[in-house]
Amino acid sequence: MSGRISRLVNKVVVGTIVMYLLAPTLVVVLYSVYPSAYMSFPPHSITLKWYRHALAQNELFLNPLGTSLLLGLTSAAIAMVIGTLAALGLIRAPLRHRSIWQGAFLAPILIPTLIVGFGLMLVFLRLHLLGTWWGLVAGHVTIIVAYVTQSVSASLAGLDPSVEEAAKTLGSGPVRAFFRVTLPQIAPGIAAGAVFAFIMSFDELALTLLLATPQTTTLPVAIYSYVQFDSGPTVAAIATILLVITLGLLLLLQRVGGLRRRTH
Amino acid sequence: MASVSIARPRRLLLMWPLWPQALLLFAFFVVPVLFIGFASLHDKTGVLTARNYLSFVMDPYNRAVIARTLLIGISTTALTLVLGYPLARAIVRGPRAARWFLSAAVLFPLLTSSIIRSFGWLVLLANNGLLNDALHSVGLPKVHLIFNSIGVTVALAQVLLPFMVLSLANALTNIDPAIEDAATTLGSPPLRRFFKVTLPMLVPGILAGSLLVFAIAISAFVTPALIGGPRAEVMATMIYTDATQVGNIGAASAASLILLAMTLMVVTLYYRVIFSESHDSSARPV
Repeated sequence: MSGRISRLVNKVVVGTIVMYLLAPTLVVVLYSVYPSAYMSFPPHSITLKWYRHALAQNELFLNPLGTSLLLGLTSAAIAMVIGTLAALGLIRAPLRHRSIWQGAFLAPILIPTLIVGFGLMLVFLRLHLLGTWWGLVAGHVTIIVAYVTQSVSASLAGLDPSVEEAAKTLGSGPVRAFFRVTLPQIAPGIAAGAVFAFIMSFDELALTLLLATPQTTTLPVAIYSYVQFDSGPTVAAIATILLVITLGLLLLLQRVGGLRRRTH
Repeated sequence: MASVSIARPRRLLLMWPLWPQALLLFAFFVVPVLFIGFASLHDKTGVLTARNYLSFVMDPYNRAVIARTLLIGISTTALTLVLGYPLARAIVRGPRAARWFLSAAVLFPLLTSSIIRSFGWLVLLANNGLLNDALHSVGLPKVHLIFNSIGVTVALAQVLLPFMVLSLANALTNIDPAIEDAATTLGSPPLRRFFKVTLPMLVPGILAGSLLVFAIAISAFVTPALIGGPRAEVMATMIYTDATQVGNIGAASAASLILLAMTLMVVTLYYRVIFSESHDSSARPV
């Protein structure tokens, strides 16, 4: 009898914690289809008017979305090349203190992006590069590149280098052996790292706030400045669109199969 | 190892794939941190001074900000511990069907944008938000949960809970349920069993999860900026405010380096814990 009660209590406790985890996101989605800006229960109808409203907002939504996508794609593409090369070096090059190199290359993941952004702001101020597009890209590449390095390193570590050696022995040149043998095998790791890097860039606020100008406002910066004086349902609609984009990318990531590998 | 015998110039050449990222990290990470260090030791007119650090520790407002940052770090860690344990236990020991759903629910906050999550908490916790509406409709007084440390803690613990649950679940899978069953069979009541049998074996997991949550909590920016606002400033939001005001670059620099040092210290401890643990649990060669 007491066993049944304690099991019930346990279910209620776990259920409440799960609600706590999901609540803020669910509230945003609910708020975005709510007919009035003032939320009260139960809803009498649902509407898509806030989405129409959001899509009509060039300043708040469409322009920043374009900037965020362009910035994310540019930075992720650069990070993909640099990070993949670094992973090849970290796993394959003749290094003396391999773990120190690995630690140094993955460290940016642990450093608050605000501090990286502030330091870059000081450097760019001195060089008169503050507010330039490529300065912003440089900042984003710096904070996301380690995600690619980590993901590709994990893929490479699981590979047998003797396969590439065999290809070379059979007469392939080193470049050809790399592109025909190694690259196809680590492609999922590269893709997963690049998608994850894009998501991190797409979500970055602190560093962008310090390096961006009104002409290079990203979506998180736009939402951040808008929420300061109005937290209405239009923001909820925008946030929901953002959520769908991120979750879509994550599903893609899982199909690519990198998520499982990286968590190990 | 063969790598040691290769001559230096040739080794540097073979290391070429590392150069681009090494250069990137040097130019856009090491140099900026050096710039912060330089700025932290100079005043507005460019004269060498230690005043930025001194005033950071002496000024009562700054001291309150440091205290609030640490308090939020500690209370967030405590909250994730209390909420994380039942969840980790349900994931490791619960019915198989519930495991997948619970794991997905735990990872969900990590996968949603920090700005969306904070916005959701604003809608929920604001003075005219959903929670206060619900309290009002049943005749209870309003609670103030935004623009103070409580709201920031509640919102931070939600997104950091996954780190704690993963650490605790990891530790729990290493505990044989038979040991707990044995304690019950020998007549130990559940609470006593938890404190005498389970808890001591969980210590490495608790330590690893706590250090990780604490390190991220004290350096978080988005959540305190939106939910704490200027009335509940923490070190990260204060650095941002100072960094954007011309006269306060020195103060922002000193605060940045102090925050960086604190974060790195906690992260180093975290690596010590997980490193020594993985050593203990692996079968030692004779």
